[in-house]
Amino acid sequence: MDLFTPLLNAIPAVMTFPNLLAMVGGVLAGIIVGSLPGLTATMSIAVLLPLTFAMDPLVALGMMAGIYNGAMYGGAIPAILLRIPGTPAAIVTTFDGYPLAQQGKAGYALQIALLSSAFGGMMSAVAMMILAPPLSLVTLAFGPPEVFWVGIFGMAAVSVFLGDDLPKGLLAALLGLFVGMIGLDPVMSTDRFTFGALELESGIDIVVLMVGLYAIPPCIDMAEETFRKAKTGQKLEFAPFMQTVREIPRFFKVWSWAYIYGIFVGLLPGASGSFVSFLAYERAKKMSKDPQSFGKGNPEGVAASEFGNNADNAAALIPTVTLGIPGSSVAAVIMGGLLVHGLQPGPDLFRNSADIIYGFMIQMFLTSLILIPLGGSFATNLFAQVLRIPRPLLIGLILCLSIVGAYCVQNSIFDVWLMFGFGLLGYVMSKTGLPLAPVALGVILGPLIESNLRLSLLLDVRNEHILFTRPICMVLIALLVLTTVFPPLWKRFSARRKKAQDAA
Amino acid sequence: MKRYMLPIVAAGMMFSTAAFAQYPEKDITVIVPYGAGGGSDIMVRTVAPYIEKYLDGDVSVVVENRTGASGIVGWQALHDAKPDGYTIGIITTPSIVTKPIEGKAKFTWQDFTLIANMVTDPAALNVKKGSDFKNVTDLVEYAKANPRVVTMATGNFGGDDHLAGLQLEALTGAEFTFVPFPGAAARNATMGGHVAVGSFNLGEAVNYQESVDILGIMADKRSDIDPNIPTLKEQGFDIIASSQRGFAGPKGMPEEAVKALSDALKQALADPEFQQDAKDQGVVLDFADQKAFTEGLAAFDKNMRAIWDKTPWLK
Repeated sequence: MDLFTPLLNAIPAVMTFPNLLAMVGGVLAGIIVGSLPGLTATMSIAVLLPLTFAMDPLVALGMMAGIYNGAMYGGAIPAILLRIPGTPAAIVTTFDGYPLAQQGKAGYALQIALLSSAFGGMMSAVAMMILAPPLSLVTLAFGPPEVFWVGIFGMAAVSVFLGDDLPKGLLAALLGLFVGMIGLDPVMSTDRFTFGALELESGIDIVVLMVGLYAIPPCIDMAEETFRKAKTGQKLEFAPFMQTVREIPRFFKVWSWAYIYGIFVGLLPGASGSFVSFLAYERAKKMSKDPQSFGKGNPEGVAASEFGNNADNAAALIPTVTLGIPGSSVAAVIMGGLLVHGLQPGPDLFRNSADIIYGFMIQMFLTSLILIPLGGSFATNLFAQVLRIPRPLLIGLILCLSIVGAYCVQNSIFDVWLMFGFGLLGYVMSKTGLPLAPVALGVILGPLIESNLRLSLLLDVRNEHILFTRPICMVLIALLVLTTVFPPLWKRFSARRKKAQDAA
Repeated sequence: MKRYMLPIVAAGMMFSTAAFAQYPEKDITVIVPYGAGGGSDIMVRTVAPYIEKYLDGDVSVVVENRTGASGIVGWQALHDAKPDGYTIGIITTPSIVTKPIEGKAKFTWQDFTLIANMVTDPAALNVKKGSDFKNVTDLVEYAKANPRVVTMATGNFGGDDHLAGLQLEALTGAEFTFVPFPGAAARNATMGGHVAVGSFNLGEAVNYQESVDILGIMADKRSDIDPNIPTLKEQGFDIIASSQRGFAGPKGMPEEAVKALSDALKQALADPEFQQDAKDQGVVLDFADQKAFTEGLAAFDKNMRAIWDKTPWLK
């Protein structure tokens, strides 16, 4: 078959020793970087980029693929063990991962996260191998009006993350939307809430916010605990690995939805992958027969989140390699890596450098596959020791990492202070029972929705109400109504009917 | 006698090192005011090994990304650095000229020591392949007949793409609706047919001619990177607009450092291997020494101030 010839041709180029070494090294580095709050895949690939100049292009790309896939799993490790997401995409993993860890099933949660990440990454790579050129049409078909509705879709998912206390949840979501508004406005470039600070003009980076909100409050908590009583280390209860593997069929349904969301959002430039896990989690909870167990340690929550954030990986690279439009910030840095090696994205890339681009897709697949042994044996066992670290030491460690991480985003000390500011805010929020996740979702989606709304209004030069009349928009609106308006109505209707029957 | 020897020898050595000190003796830091992996960053990282090769002396060129506020954060850092020739940076037009005009920066481009220009990427008008607009005249005529109906994708308001569109409006009296997309999204919107025309640089368009038609570039003459693309000038619209990237240092940099760096850059840009790298990345090379670079910026500054006084592009 024509489709597979270039793939098969690329295999020998991938299976060389330096290449395999680069992939293994990349995955390990990725897991470590991902697991350190504040250090992200984007950052580490950007830092390593200059080192790859002298390398063979495939070796360089293999390393980047490894870091990318590794980091997306790595983020789950502290999310599960400490409720501190290592990457923004792992925020959702904390919901069920941490409760599982508290029930003494941290090992089991890590295994679920690992398998979900690995399969998510592999399936995403398969989509890229088979469907990259046709899927890139999706990127082109989605203009500002369509992306606006996708953003609204995400915002509708927020309901699941608001927690039990609705006003508090909404307050947190509004806070997120507010933080997302800081900086230059997306259309007129006017300063908003910057108070004349140059550093705030480009807005607040999600990494700075996340590190502050999620990493600092646990440190304060731990410090309080340490003063009250010295706690001995917990132990991880590892289920036999094969037993977890046998559970895979249970997650098929959750994974499939996470897959669809992951590929789709990955294809849209500007819609960051972090929100895939929110969408996937919401769907998993809504589909579940036992939605009450979500947030209390349901492994399906971990599976949805982790599969989702890895399913976005290769998909975000599809518009990058076919159109030169990066689907995420990591993809943007990887595109930089391609350019440095003289590989200009676009149709020519597939014609002139087929071995390299198909080789890269194979690497995206293989690095997800080797995530299983590497993550399973080495990294997870190593990081599980985190729980044994004496608390005062752990606090210092997290604080150091947080400072480094916040600083690295823009090499700016301002961001470090900002991070501590958010840390205090997060501490106050956790003491007053305000949920953190809606803040993150607001920051991720607010700017996306706003800029696409305003661009759509500008584009509507003939007053055609393009937000409602373009065909894809109409489909999206219909889906939105079907998924958000009908289920509660249906529930009420069937409850009433049941009541009527009971009465009769 | 002997006891005077040591100070004399020491003084002599100090004198000799001062006299024979050759730039460069230590590593050179290049401040890039934009993120790693972006256009400016890649350009600097690609040229860095060639600068190292052509400079006398075994030193490294270290790239430091200082991002934020459309370049101003990085430029402020460059402005405040010690002018010893070991901290230089990238300046880009139009921002280095327009940001001070907008009152957003505490410096002007005259507060830097210009070293040399490296890239001049002409502004270009691009349409989706197969668009009804076959040339710039078609576009302008339609836009004049239907004011504000033609949507034009640009980068940020006040950026080079937007200013190029404003110049076209000023020259022809046509009216466009400008739609500011972030990053490379303007090209995406043009390729996807979400806008009628896209204003983005030749370097961002030249390698995508399977999906976009380039109606014309706003340059004095056709570009070496693809001589088949006409200029606006030859279609009767005399507009020159571009985005430039060059090297500069803090004010008061020593002459010999400027000269050494400028010569090394000139040699690097003449290196066929580097030229191929640049072409693959869609970079339009255009070397200009300190004098020519300064004159170009001065003319541009005058032009922009005239526009700003009449119709400020930001409100």
